[in-house]
Amino acid sequence: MTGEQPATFESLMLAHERKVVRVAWRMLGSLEDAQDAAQEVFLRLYRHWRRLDPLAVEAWLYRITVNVCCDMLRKRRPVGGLAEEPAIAPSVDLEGDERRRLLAEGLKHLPERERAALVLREIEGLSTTETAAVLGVAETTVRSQVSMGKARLRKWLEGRE
Amino acid sequence: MTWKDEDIESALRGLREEDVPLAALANVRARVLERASKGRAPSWSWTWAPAAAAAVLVMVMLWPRQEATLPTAAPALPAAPEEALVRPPLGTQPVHVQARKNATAPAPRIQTEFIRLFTEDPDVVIYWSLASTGGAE
Repeated sequence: MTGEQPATFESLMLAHERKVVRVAWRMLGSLEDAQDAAQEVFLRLYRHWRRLDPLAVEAWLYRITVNVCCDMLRKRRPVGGLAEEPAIAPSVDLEGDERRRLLAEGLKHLPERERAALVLREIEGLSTTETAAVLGVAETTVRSQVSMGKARLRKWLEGRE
Repeated sequence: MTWKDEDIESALRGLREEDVPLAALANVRARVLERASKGRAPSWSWTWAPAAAAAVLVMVMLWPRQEATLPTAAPALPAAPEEALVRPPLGTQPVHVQARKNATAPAPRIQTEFIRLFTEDPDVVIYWSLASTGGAE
């Protein structure tokens, strides 16, 4: 994690908006919902940013993003189908695109804590220690959640073929 | 399509490299800044409430007060007896004296009298007005 120290709230938001939206997008499976979640996250940041340790802002944002997304997942109806699949930028790597599309779809079917662990550990590239700190669980729990998440994902992906 | 652990990890990393649309970021930024600026702007009612309260207080303090005339506690006088028994000197009959019920003095009536004075000139007559209170005093 990097320890930036932006001077204003706006610069703080600019520094972190991409990762907040990305995590929310992968957690919720919908870019539109991700924008709503990111808005809520940054409004919470607006209320607290002066009291936050600048070195801890990133971890704080990850934690709040995961919490906000979990709240939204609990409130909304069960997801399913490809209609809410996030748009994937077209590229020449068609097989890679197809794999990512399927993976993004498969993430939606994981339990929220496994999904959060996979998103933070594998997509965002946090260490196991950092992921554990964000989720407020032990490192062994993170390893277990990541492992179970991958297994569940593989099972779901293979079931689709 | 077969999925190994490496495939899954690789595809997950690929999701990270996938860029978030700039329009989405701009949209979030605009919404947050709009809401934040609304929260920062003080409500007019809260701005004016203390000023209005202060104005009312000043008006109350500066308002000309009427001197409150508190009823002074007058010493209670004993009621006049309806009849007073006056004991005359020994050897005479007691006399009942009727107390005056109407203690308030009547308003003096002003009587105007004119005196006509004749002068040497028959065309000139002097009237002298005499106002009197009717000799009450």
